[in-house]
Amino acid sequence: MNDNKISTGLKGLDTILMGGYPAACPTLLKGGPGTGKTVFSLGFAHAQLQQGASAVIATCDESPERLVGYMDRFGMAGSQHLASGKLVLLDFRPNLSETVVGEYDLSPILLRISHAVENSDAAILVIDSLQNLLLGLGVTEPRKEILELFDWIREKEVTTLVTMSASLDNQPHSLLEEYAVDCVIHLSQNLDNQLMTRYLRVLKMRGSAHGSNSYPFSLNHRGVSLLPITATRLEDAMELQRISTGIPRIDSMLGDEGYYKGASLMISGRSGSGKTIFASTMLNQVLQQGEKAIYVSFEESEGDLKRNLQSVGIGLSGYLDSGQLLIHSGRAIEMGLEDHLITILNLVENESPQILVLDPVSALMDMGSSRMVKMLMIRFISHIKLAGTTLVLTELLPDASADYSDLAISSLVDTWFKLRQVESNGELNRLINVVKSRGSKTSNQIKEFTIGDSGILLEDPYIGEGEVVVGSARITRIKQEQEEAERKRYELIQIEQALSTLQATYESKQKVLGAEFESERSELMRKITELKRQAGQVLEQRDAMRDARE
Amino acid sequence: MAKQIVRLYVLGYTPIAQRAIENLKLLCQQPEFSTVYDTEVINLLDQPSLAEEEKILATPVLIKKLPEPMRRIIGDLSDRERVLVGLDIFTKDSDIRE
Repeated sequence: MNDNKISTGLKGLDTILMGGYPAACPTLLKGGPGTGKTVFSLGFAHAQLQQGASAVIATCDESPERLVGYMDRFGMAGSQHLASGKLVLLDFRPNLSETVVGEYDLSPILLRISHAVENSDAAILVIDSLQNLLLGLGVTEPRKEILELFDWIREKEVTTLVTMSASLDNQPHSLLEEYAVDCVIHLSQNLDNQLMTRYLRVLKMRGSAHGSNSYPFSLNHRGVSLLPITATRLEDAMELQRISTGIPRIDSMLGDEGYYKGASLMISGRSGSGKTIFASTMLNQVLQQGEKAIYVSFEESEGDLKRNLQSVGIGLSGYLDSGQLLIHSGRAIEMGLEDHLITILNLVENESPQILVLDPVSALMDMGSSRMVKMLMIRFISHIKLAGTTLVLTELLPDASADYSDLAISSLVDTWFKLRQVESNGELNRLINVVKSRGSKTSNQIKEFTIGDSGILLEDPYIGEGEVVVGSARITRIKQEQEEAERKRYELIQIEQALSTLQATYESKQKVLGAEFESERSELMRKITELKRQAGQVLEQRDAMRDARE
Repeated sequence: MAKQIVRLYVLGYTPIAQRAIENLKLLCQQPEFSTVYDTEVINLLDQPSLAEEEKILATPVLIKKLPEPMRRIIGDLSDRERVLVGLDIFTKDSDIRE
């Protein structure tokens, strides 16, 4: 904290002003009606009161009672501080029944302020608003009394916040800006697409650097919230812990380990492609680990979401009851984009969940020019990252988009899934692929998944004949293959049978042939023996004849 | 009937304050005024908390609390007629003129 700055009571504004309002001198807060000047000044007073300092608020348009009421409502303990005497309220509302006759001066303003500041030993002074004070008194020119007041503020070194309406931008005010104050902050509200966005800009700050952009801010029941771009420095801590998506096969698509804790993930897909179930599965996984989670839905009410997820086996009621899970439902058109993002950031800041689901983030995208939306999303994602929360965004792709993302934030996210539905053979089949995942060995495959009673189920991939086949075509293909194999097996059996038949035939024929051979041979042998015997008898008879003649 | 008190608050005896005191004195010479009101001059430098109490933003200021309604007149009171009108007192002159 800078020595010559005093905290504004708003974290974001302190960052923009590099410490706070300049100490010991006046700061001018300019803004049209309804831009939140009073809330800023009450926040400032509250921050000082919290630290035990005293504060004097000179109110020129609202009654002191109402101011205290506002503080109480914003949780700033107004009545309590008033009772303790730390908070001094000066009623500077002009009395409109007063008649003016002749010349007068405004020295009582300084008298009352100095009296109150010195009596309460106040560190800070708030004047809300100078405009009304001057107008109520019929003063249109810069009065020397007002300049004297600023001189007195400097001399007494009272840190002062003066608010002034910017609607009447004429001479006295620019003189005040140029001469009397050290810091000028301008508040404005713009209307984009019929939604109002508030902006803050620092016009000047003597002797100090300050953020110079136009910063969106939000006003809600908790006071003021700002999104300064300075918080988007790329200095978030490195996170090595991996978290499972809850679907083992998806984890393995991300290099076997899931995503990095605190990463930002985006799931893109057309209507009905399973984005919500996918995001909820990841959310459920984190809840099962006992960590906190926030689900922001722009499409479904809490009840609808609970019922719809129950049907796919994701039961959230228990987590909701225990406060582990917070579901924040709202239509996108309820408020401006900045308000949405700031509301969500506040939720994250309060709950510090491990995972935040925004379903669908594309609902916010119609709420401004794409450049503006991208700028805000950069801030938003950086903030979430700094908080160490895993961010899961779903993106609804229009049917005419041909599955191309028209959201220019894909470069901001760490991991990007794409869900698709492919039509073939009269059916739609669900496919998922990882478009990118920083720091992981990403699978390049397109996987098919189905949604059943127990959530998302990834099918075995069928890759045959050089192409991936999905759905019933995949089943048909598998059937065909099985039949083919069956047929081959049958054929094999047949051939084997033929072979053994052949063998048997051969063997039996061999036996017959052997028997025939054997009988033929013995017949021939018998004939040989017979003939040999007959031949012997002839020779004997011839010898006997010759012997007889002799 | 007891007279009511009209108070003139000044912040130091500046030239404007002195003019206002002079004009108040002249006012007291008007019977319409002096029969109803007593006057008192208060210097806020002596009693700064009165400025807070009376919620005074500009001086000099002439404050009449009673009878109701309360009337406050800012300035040096240089226009006597307007002061009297401002205090709901109508002189014979103004009645005739109207």
